[in-house]
Amino acid sequence: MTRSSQGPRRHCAALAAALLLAPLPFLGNAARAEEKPIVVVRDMDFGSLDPHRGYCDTCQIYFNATYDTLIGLSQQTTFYPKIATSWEGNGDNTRFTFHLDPKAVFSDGSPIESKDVKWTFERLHNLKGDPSLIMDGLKTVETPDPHTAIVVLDAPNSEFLADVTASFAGIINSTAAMKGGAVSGVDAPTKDTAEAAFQAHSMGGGPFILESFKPNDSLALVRNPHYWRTPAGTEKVILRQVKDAVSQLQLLQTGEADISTQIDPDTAATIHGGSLVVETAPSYNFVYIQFLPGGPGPSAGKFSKDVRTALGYALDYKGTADVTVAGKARLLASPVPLGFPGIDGIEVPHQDIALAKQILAKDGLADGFAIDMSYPTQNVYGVDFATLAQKAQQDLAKVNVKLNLVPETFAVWQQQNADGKIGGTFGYWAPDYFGTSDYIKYFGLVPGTFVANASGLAKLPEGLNKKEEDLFNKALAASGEDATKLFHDAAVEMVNDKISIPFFSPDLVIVHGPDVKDIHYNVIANLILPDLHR
Amino acid sequence: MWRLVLRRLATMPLLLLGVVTIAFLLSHLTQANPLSAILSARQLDNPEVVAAAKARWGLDKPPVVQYGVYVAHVLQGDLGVSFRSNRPVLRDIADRLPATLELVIAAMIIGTVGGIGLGVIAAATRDRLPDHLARAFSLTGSSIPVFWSGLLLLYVFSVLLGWLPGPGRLSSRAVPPPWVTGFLTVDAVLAGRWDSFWDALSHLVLPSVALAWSTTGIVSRLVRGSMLEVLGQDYILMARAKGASETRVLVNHALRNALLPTLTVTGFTFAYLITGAVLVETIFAWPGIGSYAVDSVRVLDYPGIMGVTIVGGVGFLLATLVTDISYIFADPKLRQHS
Repeated sequence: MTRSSQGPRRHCAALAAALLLAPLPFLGNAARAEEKPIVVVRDMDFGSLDPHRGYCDTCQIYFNATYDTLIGLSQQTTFYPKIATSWEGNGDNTRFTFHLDPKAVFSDGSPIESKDVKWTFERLHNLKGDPSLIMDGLKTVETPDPHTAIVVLDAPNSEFLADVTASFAGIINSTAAMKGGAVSGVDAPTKDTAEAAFQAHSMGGGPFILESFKPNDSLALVRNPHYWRTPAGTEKVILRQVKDAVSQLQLLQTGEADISTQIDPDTAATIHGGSLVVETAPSYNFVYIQFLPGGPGPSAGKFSKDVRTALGYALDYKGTADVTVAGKARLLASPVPLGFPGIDGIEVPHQDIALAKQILAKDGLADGFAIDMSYPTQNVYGVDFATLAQKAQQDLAKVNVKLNLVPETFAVWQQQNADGKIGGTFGYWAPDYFGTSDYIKYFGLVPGTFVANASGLAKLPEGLNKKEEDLFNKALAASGEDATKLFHDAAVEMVNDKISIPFFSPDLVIVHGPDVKDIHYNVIANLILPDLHR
Repeated sequence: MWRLVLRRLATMPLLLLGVVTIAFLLSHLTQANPLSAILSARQLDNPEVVAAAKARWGLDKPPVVQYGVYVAHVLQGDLGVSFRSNRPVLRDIADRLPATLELVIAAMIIGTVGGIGLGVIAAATRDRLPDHLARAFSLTGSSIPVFWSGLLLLYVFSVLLGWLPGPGRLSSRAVPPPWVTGFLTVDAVLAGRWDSFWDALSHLVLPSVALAWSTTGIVSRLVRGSMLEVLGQDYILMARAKGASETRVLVNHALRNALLPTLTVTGFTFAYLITGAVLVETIFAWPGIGSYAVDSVRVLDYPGIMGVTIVGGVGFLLATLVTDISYIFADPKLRQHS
């Protein structure tokens, strides 16, 4: 009894003595300061570190840094060699040959060979995770020798090379992954157990390797010592989970962090003095309003194409950008980002209340009607969706159209849209790869797309857009300028559909410390970690 | 007394089954299909991808079967795999719980010790300046939302004055001590890493103060009220008549008796602090169970929601049990009765 009661006391005394004898605080940190890793703070949306399952903005940053792809996409959106030194496609875009660099090696020093390309693409296709859309239409991968991989598709795809640049298509070390439980066959959805292995090690041939991953806390990357191309600009990068933008800014202000790309314009505007650098860069993300003619509620049966056009004229695009992101945005016409193949040159929309009223009156809706509109209760790309929705509510009220706003959590919002069980919605989108087809496959009024299904138009007299479908199929089979022109025409059709009407592409606000250089944003990587240096 | 403890322990599995059942029903009654949390919008219309996801997560089975499978797994100590993190929920919780407990325990110590101290001062100086100041401090703590006080503390003490570090459990570039308990302060001491210890301790100050402020308010008001009641008793008059010093009267005679109701509140405060930790964890980038719970709910991560609910339920039941036992120890009349 006595002994046990004295035990804790002895421990406390030992602890107290140890504290008194402890060296001065932070000496250890000072000793390690020479390394000074670059710290990126962000609200990380990681679900998985497996390139074939992870599907998020932060995933793209991580995969791009650790898993090299066959082909790269430059800042000027041109292709350049990575693992493949050269490539060619056949006439109808169904067969693509890649010649691999014999010097290419994975982070464990083993060579990157065509068998790894085959294994990677087949697993991406068969695993049926979110990123599997990159390999839709994969028929087979032929490997005539260790340095040649031939991808055969079951239908033409003029943007397949763009697909291959996507960070989800990074080549995986098949030997290491299979040891970790990864499966590439058709039984992959149920037999693959490699998640733990992917969270413990990166298994690619990128400029960085995974040092540690603590979910909801941090992800640390160190330079890949075996990298055969230009090495990463810095020895170590830490991605640190900080959800709140104000907290991100405070860490930057105290020097605890170096970069944030998620600080909204309002918070960035509070930065006065100090050494922080605030930059903006055009982004490829955009926010939109979407009308679902087949949806239930007070707007059911009222969304003719004319009415949708009138609602498009009632919206104040520039004003919405001013209210939500302090005007730091680019207006765009079609639900495809500016700069994508065939997109530039389409006239951006403008507000014309008189014309909107005139069209509505012609359709017998001068007194207006009501629409149930959902929106996700989120702040995405610096855009607060409640503010965005309220601005649209004010605009449409000018033509007597009443928006009944329905705020929803992300999952409920997404489900409601998928089911088309609401009159309309507000949403956001970021590119998966540098291809216009990525957008037509989602927003197009083409059979099988998400928006075509959600809109309910296939069951209404208006139907889907046959011309758009033809242009899309022709664009996939064409090449070069012909393909670009066809994508342009398909995008114009999407503008005229007036189902998904984009408001703007919000600029990316980059806040960083003065000594961090070469902070680059890219369509497929978001933030290019290997470029960073002090 | 042991009979009481055993009886309470015996009813816990039944209560937990109730918690599991209610949590399962509530999470499955939401409008959204969990697939919308697992898959992106564009793949929700892809039958092959949907079928693969359903098979992977067991969502292809009827809810009753899902419930049965889940309960069977829970009985074996398996809380399932999180939709969001793709890791076993138990591992997720084990990784995060120490962070929350470290924060909550620090907040509880600050809140209780500070609250008792303020309450005694307020009672001893009734209707004088220290009493007014203590009450104003308590009222402010109880009234200000924790997300606001957290941001305010961060701005003043971290950004403006630079006295304390900003969000996080350790400095961004610091190497954490080897994991033993998950309590960074303890692990740092065990590893003899004093730089990490001070780093972790200094990071703990602001979030725990932000979290403790409201508790300080509650405890101090309670102690003040109890003390004032006790100070009016005859035995206090007797103690003073016998020449006991004012400190002795306050601490030995008045406080000891006034602490009894405080003890009960402190037990419930623990549960309250864990709830309050959700916001503090968000503001201070504290990778704990609170932010895990919020994120799980946000993306409809059924296994995550259920896991947190079960662990929270167990924690609450244990905290209540410990409070009841402490109550018996503190109150001689109850001890005799039990």
